[in-house]
Amino acid sequence: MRSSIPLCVIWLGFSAVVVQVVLLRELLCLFSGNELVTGIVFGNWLLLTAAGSFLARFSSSVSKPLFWQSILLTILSLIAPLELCGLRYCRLFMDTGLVLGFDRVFLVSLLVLLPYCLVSGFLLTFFSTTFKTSSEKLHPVGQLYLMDTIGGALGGVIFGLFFTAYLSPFQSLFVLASLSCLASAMLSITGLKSKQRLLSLGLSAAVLTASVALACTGKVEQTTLSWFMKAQQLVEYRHTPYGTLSVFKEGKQFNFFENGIPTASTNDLISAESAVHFAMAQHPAPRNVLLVSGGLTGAYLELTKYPSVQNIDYVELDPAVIETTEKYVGKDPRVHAIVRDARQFISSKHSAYDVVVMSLPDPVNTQLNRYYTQEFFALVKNALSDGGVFGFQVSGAANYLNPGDRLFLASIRRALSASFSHIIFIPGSRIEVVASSAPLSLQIPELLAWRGIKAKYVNSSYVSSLLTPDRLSAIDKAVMQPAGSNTDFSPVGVYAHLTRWTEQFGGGLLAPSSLVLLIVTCMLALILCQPQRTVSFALSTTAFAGMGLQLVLLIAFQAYFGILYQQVGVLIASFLFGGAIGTYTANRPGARAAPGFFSVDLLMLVTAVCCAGIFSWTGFSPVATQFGLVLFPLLNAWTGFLVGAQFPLAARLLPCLPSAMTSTAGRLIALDLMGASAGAFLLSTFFIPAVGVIHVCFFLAFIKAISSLMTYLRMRRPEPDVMAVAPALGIRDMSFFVLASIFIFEGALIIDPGTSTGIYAVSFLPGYHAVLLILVGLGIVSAMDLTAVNEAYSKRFGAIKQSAERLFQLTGIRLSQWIYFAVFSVVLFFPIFKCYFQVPYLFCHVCPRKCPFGFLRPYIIPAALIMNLSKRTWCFHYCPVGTLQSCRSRNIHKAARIALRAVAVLILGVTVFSYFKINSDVQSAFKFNNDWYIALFRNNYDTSVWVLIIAGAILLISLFLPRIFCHGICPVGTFSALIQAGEKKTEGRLQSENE
Amino acid sequence: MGGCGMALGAYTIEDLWRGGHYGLRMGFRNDGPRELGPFSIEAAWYETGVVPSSVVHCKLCPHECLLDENDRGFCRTRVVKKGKLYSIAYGNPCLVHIDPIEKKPMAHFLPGTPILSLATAGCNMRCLNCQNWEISQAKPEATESVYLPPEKLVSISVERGFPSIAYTYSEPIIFYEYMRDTARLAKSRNVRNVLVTAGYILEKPCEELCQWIDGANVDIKAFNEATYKKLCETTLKPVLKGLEVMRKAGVWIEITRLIVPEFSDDMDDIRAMCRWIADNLGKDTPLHFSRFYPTYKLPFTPLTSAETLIRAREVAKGEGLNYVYIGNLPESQGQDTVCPKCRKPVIRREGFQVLENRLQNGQCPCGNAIAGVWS
Repeated sequence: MRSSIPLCVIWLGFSAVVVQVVLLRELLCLFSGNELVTGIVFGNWLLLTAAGSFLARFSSSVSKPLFWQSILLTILSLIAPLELCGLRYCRLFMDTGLVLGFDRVFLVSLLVLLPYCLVSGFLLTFFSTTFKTSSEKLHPVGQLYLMDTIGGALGGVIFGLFFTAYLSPFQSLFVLASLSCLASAMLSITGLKSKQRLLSLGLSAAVLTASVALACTGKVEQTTLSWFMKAQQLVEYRHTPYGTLSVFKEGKQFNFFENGIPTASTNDLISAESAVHFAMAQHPAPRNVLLVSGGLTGAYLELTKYPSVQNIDYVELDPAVIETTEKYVGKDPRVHAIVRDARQFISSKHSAYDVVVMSLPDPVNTQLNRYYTQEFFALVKNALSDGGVFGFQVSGAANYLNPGDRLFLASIRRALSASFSHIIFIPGSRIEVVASSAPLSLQIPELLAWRGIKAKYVNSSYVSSLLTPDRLSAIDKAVMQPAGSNTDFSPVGVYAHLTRWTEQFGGGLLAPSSLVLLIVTCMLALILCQPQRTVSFALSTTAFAGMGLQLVLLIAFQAYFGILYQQVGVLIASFLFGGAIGTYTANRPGARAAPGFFSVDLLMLVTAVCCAGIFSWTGFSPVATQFGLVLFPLLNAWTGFLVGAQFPLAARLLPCLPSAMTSTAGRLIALDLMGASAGAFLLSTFFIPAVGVIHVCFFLAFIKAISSLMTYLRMRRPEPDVMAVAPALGIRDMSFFVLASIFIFEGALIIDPGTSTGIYAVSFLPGYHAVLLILVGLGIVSAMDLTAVNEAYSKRFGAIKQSAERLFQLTGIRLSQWIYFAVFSVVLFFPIFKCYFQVPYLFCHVCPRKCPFGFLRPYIIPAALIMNLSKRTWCFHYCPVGTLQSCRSRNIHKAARIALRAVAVLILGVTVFSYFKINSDVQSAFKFNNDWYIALFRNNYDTSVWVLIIAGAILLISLFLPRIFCHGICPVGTFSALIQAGEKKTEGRLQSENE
Repeated sequence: MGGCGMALGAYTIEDLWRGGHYGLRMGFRNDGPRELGPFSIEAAWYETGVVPSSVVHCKLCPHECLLDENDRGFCRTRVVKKGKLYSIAYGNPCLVHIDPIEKKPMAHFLPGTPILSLATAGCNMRCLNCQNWEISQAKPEATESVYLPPEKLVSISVERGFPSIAYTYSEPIIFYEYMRDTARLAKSRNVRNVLVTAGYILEKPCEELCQWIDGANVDIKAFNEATYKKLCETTLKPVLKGLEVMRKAGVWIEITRLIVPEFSDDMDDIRAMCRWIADNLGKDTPLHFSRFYPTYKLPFTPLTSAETLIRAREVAKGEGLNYVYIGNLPESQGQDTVCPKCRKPVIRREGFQVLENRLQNGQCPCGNAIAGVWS
């Protein structure tokens, strides 16, 4: 048993990495594989695993941990293939070929990944309950992490070497499942007793048989793939190290899908001709031609139409694509297929080609963006002979260019103009870009006719309708607008493309940025509620920076050397192995925790600065060819080493009682993963595309500088007593941050023009209103405090009551408050963010266009007042504002309270006065323009900056002054408080009279 | 309990069901621009006070949006301000191009002539395969537009000798007032008007419009309600009704059917459509089958195969339609106008260009009259 649990942890790490890669690939097939989608999916994965490990803190009280661990291990092996099935099954619900927006990508990936990630994260922390170290001096949490990291590193390497080459996705998962069953069986044989052992072994045996059988038949793969296209026939499916390649047939036409995205079709004359002829027409006698990708459209057959062409080099990364091309499109003796990364290939050539034709997808991610950067264009220029021509296509618009399109085209033009003096853009839904150092002509049909090339599409009949003066001037205007050049280290092209993608769905970047806000808030909350905030902060920022540096190094490596998939694998493996070595080193018995922790932090800062220095040193790129192949894996391993080393040190620094092992492990793993998740999402999708690689390095260095400083200051302080650590900011602060972030998130949704109408419409859904009313009714019932009802309630729903109490202990907020906050917050906060009047909430009955609050006000306010009659139930149990404010309630100075109360009474007076005044005004003659409140009417449904500032100020002040809104502003609260005070006085008098 | 009862009583069951006063009906709630811009004009087809709970009832297209103060219609170009409905893109097109008329596509309407084509932002459809989503799914105030009132537009086409004006690209019905005034003026100065539309319009506005419209190319996206709903968020029935109205008013009609694989490539569906066209619009109605290219929200759907398009043409011919064309497929001879009697090409085309026109006074040299607007 002693050795079987570490083995199981290693196995868990191993299988998690493999499943992650398999499911990530599949998810990218389902959605369009751009940088944002990758970021969301990867971020979700880490976030969910973090949640799983955090939740495992409740597992410490489980009675038979070993039994449940072996069962969970078997279940986990079942979940992965089921999720893959589910992913493919999603296609049946989706309309074929439909691209999904941000919200769907987020939700679908969240739901699909949820079971596996939660269980695997949970299980990892759960193992800490039974985990025993070989020596007393080794920290168990660190050792657990070490085993997991070793497993992950092995998984990465073995997947890259073995799984991708020989197994299809389902086979990989079934192989994993069978091995998981064996691991579970090992666990139950070594550690369990008769009955439990039998049960657990039986389950594993059943799953094992099923998965071996399914892996052998291969039917699952075929069936699930056929869900991909309903009416078309799947002819071929190949699984290559670079992804999947499938061929569908419709009539005589073959459609080729790479990673689920249709890249080409046979019989697509328009694509084939426009890829080739716009560029080829410009050269008087092209002899050597380079075709970068695009063989599947049949582009090289178009090239062979030119009699002067002697040699066509056709570069493709994936040998499977070349084989497919030769099978379905045809061969030509002049074509020489070369399997190599195009960028690397081009950099090895000098003055070798007359024409370079490139046919690649848009720069949706940094990998593809390498073919659209200033550096790449310089390489192409170098590979071209004098007067050579370079042609490629990007997505455009049939008639009207959006701001996103314009930014993209302008950044491409900037990048091109550094190397080429003549550039033309041919408008259309695919925009043809032709660049050369020699003059170019727009008389393309005439040039082709003069050369005797017969084209069916690129001729005057079609093309002249594209080359009209009005269309040409529109595209000229677009490309000449100011924009940053698209470079390797500052991928503006990716950013522009993401802008374009979000434009299709409306709402702009609001939804992604709110998600970032949510992740960061959760992370801050988790850090703040820890006993050792500095350690937690440093740990999660190290994970963040580690993820960031890894991304940055990958981008830089690809930029310097071209993409070599195996070497990228080496790079990632070196990070993981570096991590394992780091953890091992730092978890040795002799290592001193505090200085070690600080020096790791400092070294991370130094590494980030060094990376920035290397990338901004222009002289590096020639040096890179000699050193880089060693330097980059070393740098990556070093980063991994630092990330890995900090974890066990943090585990030692945290006060850890043997009884609280699980919660410490869960908390630390969650912090680590949350940091990495934020890094994956924030950096890859926003920071790197928007500000560039070098600035990101400096940003990471800045964050590490803060954490190093904090760590240093902490080290100087005397060691805190392990037992007496009580957080200054408690669990309630976490709740406050979560609630405040929900508040801000809702505000952003209401203000943003892309989502405001949507949320407005949703706030009037009949079902929503019904829920509101039911909750109001329930609130009134509970406020009446009927003993009979209460008894019946506790009898029937005792379990709920218990868990509600648990929640209250945990978060400082009652279950009812959470529910009412979730449901009522939109309604109650609406007028803060958008209102027709300068003063929200006050003039609802004369409002020309009511918001949900204005509409529900006549019901909610009386109901709240009724509830408040007994012990101010509404204020203390249900009101969302009260919930937000009560998170931080502490004692308040008496003088302040009296002052606040005076203001509040004043506000109450104004409210009551205006309510009755307006009521009587409305009942008298209608004279809207002369009314007394017209000065406060904005005649425009919009956001008031002043209201927002005041709301923000109240939110900030409530961090220090408790219940500032409730005591100082809220008329409902004040009214109820006055009544309550009156009641108390009467009661007191009655009591004294009685006595 | 009392409060609960009070609240429920005030909130009638019907209101609950319908989403109360401001439920989820068509249109964008509270989404009007800050102020009405200079390009706003009171809308032509709307009613007030019909539905008691709403201010304005738009009667232009079958969505029949019920709108309140500051609401924006489903088409994004109609806004309620001070109880009146305004069209906010009058004289403010975001696209003005000169295209060959074959690009619309119109095959039997002044072949080989240039046509002044314009559009404003906005659309009353939500097609997943929209080619012009940049403008059709945008608000007029968010696009870069030019000032071009009807008088100026018509005088440009008269001065520069464009025989016709096309209302196209997005959906012309949504800038109805602008189109109506331009078309009326153009008609009086002998410039023809061509409507390129999805035909999603109510009967009465359509009848009014037909007074000035000479030719129309109407898209039939599919011939069943399910696909219409899925692909465009609209319905088929009003389109067919509108076509009948146009036919009755004597407008020259051509039909376009885009074939989207997996959505609208069912041959039975195409056959039903062709039968309907032959019965209700006449066998001489030109029909254009168009090839789908991956766009907008359908980037992962492969392009239509040539075989499907050719098969569709055979189906249409089998139903007795005389003039069936194939668009976006350069390798096919699908764009020639063939005389149904002598089976020889009367007008030979390549792309958007007319190579040869053997038509004399609207007749094939064999003497058979070819239906269309030829001069």
